Amino acid sequence: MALDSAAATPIASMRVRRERSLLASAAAFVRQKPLGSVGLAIMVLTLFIALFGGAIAPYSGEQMHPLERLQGPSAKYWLGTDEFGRDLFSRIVEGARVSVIVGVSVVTLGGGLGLVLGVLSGYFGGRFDTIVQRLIEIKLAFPDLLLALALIAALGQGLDKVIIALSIGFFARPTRVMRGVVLAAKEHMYVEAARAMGATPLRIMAAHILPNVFAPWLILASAGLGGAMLAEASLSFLGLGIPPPTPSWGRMLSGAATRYIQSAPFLVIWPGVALSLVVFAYNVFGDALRDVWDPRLRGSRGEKG
Amino acid sequence: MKDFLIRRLILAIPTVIGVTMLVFIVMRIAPGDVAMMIVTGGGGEDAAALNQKELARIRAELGLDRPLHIQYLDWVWGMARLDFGRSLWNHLPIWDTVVQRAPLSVQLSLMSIAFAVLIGIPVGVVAALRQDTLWDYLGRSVSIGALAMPGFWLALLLLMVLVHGFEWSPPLGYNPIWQRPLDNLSQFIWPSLITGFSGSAIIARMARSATLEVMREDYVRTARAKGLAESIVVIRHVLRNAMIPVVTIVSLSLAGVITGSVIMETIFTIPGLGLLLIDSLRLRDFPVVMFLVTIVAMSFIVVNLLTDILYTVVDPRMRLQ
Repeated sequence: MALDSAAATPIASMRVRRERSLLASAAAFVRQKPLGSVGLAIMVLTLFIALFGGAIAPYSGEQMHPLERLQGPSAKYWLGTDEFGRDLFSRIVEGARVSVIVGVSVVTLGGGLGLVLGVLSGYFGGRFDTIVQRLIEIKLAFPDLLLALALIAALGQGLDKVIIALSIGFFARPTRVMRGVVLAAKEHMYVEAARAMGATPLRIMAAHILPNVFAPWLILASAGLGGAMLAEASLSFLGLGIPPPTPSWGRMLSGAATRYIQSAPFLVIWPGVALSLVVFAYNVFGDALRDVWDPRLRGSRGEKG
Repeated sequence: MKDFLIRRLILAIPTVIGVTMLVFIVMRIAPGDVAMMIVTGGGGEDAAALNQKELARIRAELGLDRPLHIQYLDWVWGMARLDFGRSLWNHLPIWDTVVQRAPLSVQLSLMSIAFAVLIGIPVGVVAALRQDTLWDYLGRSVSIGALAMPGFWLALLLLMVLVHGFEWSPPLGYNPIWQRPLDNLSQFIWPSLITGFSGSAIIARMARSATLEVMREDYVRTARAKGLAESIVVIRHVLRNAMIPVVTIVSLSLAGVITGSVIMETIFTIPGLGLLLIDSLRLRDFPVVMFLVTIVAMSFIVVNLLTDILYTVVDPRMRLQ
């Protein structure tokens, strides 16, 4: 019995200490990075709205009320109605889902591809690395939106096409960064030790190299999310993104919104506010994350806050 | 220096080839068949079924019935001879349309870059020189805002204010700057101001962190210690070194300026290359799209090359590597 408790205590105390340190580090993050924390809060809120939007929105975003077109804000329609009498608030809530789906998918697909290519080309080097580097240089010759426009023209419109087009635009930067991280990590003594012990390349990459890659990847992903959302909005605004009637913040700003700019300015204001707020949130959270986790990446964009 | 130049030029060759191949492949996997669209006038496949012979004739006329690699080589060879083909839509030579429209886009882009630099560098430098004061927070808020707010939304808000508040109306048609400078500027100043503001964010951030870094250098402390006036320290020692990384960022912000101009041209109906691109994308006018995309990509490769060279000019340390 005595032996039992003696054995159990250190483990139990360790677990408590770990939980407290997690909580403490969260509190430290809020104290050090107030702006980043606001960003995190907006991100969580957006995610919540994207998941449970149907329960929040008073109407369906596609339901028309033909007798109540272009109404100003009221108790019935909180942010007013558009040219078909659709509730603007409900459409903005549903637009959050499109935005989040695009952002998360692009970062997962493009970022995932970048992770795999970057780790492989950093670890193995050689001809594979050369080919990947040339591919990235080709990609970097196109501005992201231009490449996306060309791909959409080829693939056609739609949510899935937008995601594919933007993912292809996104993979280059993570690949470059991941490759650099892996090149540095490969030189560590523990990787050499693992290799000396006869570990397979797959095992070395998974167990020893991947943990190094995690933090910079998440930082890039968080910044990329905002960029992907902006890009989707731009494509939809140009009429080459998500086709109607699906509510997308970008499309809501094109067409009718500009035609009724004088009589119904709220149609232009609110979707833009929603979009800017979310992109702002991802940017400041990404910056804060970078400052806390990897100060070396500081410089190109980022400071305290 | 000469070796460096030659090496960079040789490295650019596979990129150029890859770019043309990518553009060609992307445009050829397009599901919308141009020949079909010409036959039916966009009327759907039923009409096309009635007219198979006509369809085949148009395909042969456009050269779409030949093997892909022949089509590719033909296209590249055409560009090498400066024969860029004709639009599928109005059958005018692409080059003529582009020459006519390019000045508008070039002016828009140049003005946008000018605004981006004029806003970005002072904001970043002042924020750094007055670190952790109100000026710093103000400057950073501006750049965070510029990064988060999409240009097309800002343009709509601005239009709302201009049209609503000042009864401004966009000038009809294009007025060359040397003929009617005021009309020209009133057309170009707003879109370029917005694109420039969006582009200023990344320049301001870079200028701020670069200035902060340089201010901690020993030679700046030495300059102060020997009694130089602060303004001379800033101009001669801080700014001169801090602007090195900013040079690269200015060229990087070119991507934003070009895509920004495409969007601004559609909002402010400026008939430049951006509007041509969007119209051609909608009409599936592939030769035009291919030409425009290739031109942009090529100019990016050139700009990247020039940036590398400029970097070695501004920072002689780079030449050793």
